[in-house]
Amino acid sequence: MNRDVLDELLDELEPHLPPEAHDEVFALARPVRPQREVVLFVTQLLRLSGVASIVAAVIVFVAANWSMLGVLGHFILVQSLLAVGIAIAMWRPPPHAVGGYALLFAFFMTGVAFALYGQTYQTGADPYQLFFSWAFLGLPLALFARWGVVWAAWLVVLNLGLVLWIPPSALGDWKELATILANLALWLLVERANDRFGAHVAPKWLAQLLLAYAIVIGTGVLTVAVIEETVPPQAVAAGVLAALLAGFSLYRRDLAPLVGLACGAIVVSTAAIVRTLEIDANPLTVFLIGVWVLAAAAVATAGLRRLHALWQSQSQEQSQEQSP
Amino acid sequence: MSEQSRSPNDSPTTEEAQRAQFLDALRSHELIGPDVAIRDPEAKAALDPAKNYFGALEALAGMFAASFFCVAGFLLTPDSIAGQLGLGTVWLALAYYIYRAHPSFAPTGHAMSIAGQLLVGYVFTRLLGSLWGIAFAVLAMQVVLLVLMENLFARVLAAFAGVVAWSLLVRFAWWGSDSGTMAAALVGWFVIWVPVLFATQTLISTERRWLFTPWRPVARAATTGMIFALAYGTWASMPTQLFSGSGGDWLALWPLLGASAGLCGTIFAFRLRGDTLVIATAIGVVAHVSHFYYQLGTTLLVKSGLMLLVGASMLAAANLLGETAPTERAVPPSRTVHRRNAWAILAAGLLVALALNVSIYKKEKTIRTGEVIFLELQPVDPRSIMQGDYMSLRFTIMGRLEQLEQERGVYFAPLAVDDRGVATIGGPSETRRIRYVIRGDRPAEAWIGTNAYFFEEGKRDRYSDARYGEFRLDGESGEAVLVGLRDAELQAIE
Repeated sequence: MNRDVLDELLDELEPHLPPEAHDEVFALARPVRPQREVVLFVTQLLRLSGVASIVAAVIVFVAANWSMLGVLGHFILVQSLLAVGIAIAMWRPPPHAVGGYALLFAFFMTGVAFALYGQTYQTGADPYQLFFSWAFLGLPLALFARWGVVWAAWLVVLNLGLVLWIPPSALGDWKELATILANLALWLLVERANDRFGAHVAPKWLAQLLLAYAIVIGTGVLTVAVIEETVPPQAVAAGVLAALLAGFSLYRRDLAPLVGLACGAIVVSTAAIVRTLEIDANPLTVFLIGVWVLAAAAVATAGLRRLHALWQSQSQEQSQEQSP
Repeated sequence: MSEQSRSPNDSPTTEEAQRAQFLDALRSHELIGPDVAIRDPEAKAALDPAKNYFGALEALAGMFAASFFCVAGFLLTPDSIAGQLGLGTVWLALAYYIYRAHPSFAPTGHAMSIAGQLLVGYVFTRLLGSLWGIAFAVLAMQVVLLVLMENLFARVLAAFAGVVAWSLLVRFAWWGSDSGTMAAALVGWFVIWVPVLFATQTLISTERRWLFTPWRPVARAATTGMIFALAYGTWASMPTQLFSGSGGDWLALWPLLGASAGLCGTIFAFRLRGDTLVIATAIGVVAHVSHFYYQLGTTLLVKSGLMLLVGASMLAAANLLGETAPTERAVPPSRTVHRRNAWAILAAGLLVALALNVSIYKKEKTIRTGEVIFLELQPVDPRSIMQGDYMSLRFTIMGRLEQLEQERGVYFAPLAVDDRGVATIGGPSETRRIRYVIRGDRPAEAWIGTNAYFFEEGKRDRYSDARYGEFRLDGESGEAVLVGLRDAELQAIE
């Protein structure tokens, strides 16, 4: 049982529970997972860590650029390992667990093969093309794996490509917007997949990470615009996107994006206050900015709590109307 | 399954459902009367899954506001130890009052508590002469906060900071800021972290003993804080050379200790049904392994061998355990679906191999048939994300190309090649053309085939004499492929 639930229940129930009932209550609550589940988890963790360690070993070996093996030797080794991953996945295709691990391995070997290609033919250090090629050609592998862990790896690769694609002087560019849009689209896809195929294929945490990442980048774009006192079209677009996301979340009655947007709004508004006041070393002003952050958070939390309560009561009314 | 034997964990879908199931189970076992129900609206609200979102918003706002409070505190009392100690103590006292009397103002409590701790901690650094003394004072402060602050976030933070202070205390009292001897550092690491592992395990296994006591909130927060410290706090016991990536040979293996502690933290988090904590600790493990990769010292080949050994051992251990564990995701597909999936996977693998080998063929063709040219360069040497050590390159002609074109895009420039093969930007009458890309707007940045030369690890000194890049220029496409480096006399550097 979730500890928050248990603790809150015990706070309420403790006056009604005689001490001699504690053992039985504890046994019923099962706050610690049973041995069987822990053994299964450790098994899965060992398998995942084992595959990850072997992947890391291959990456580190390729990075060593060992001249004794030669160009052909390196390519034969990496492509053989890729073939081994594919062969094992064919032998025990997902949803079998072995197939999932094998495709995770094959996905990483795809990246290693492209890294080796870049290293051998001197195509440059960490070019975004490497990560985009990897994400593109690894997409079928992630699709067939039908496993949240492979999707998480794929999303990291895609976002690494996007990050490398963005040059340092990024504000005058549209690439952050592309990154935000890509992550929002993926968020929606993962949410949809979660509804349709379940948490194993598309875990909720993956959707929330994508959403959080998109909101963090959007907050960054708007904060930089505020600090630099410029209104580039990219910042306006990020603002419009935030408004659209808020509207969409209200329509879907989804609280998570609204909480994220509230956090972003607090950061951007605080940056605006700091910029407008042109803060000097005045302790009172700095203290008041801290008070502003707390006040803004309190208003946002109160508003969102009300909204959530309203949605809950409406949902209860609807379910009562539907019930005979 | 009958209602009598049903456990509250049989279908733990939502917190609301868990609550209802648990109450039903207690009633069916006659542990509570049928009329007992949760009536307190605050308790009901606390059971709402949305509380996690609000809790995150409040914690983030509290930490953000704390940074301003802290700066304001230092501005108000720039040189006064008494002033900083007084203000820090007042803020901690206010935080205590807020948590106790007005829990709905928790973000203000977070801000006051964190800012107060930073001010008081700074006073410790000014008053105490030794690093271990400062660590000890901070540890004592965190123990007091863990007990007194009646807020889960504040207590978890205190437990985490307390463990970090404990690790610094042992470290500075024992082997100081540098590595000392390998034996001392290693033994020190175990002296720090084995008790934390043991304490976490003890708290989990003795939960029954403290669950129904007033110490429950403290023990609960201490468990979470220590699990978090196992994943992230181990950085504090790391020899300082590792932060600059310049550790000696054996020190390069150090991050693996942190990864092992993080894995233990992940298992503890799972035992406690803390899904978010499982993800957080797993990210910590990945961070340690990444740190391991970037550490210079032990060769990459040794690291590779070690990772292979670790991976194989883990898979072997998983197989041994797997015999007792139930089958995972065991929904056997039909034979047709199995075959279809297998062919689809084969097609995906062939697609990767085809794309890769066509690219290899094109590069090999250019290398075989392209014209030899040399471009003057300027070197430096970092490490790539996945490709190992390299010399960062910038060719002399890039400055000229960046003057020719400012807008992003693909361009071709005429090349003049002298008798030695050294190429420079030529006039419009030149027949050779080199393809280049302008990237970045401010300033324009030219790209000719590469920005790096990858070499075998440990051979960086060999390339210190490099003055020219040796290219093969494809006459048709204008593509230039870097194949090697040459010295000032255009002698190949092997």
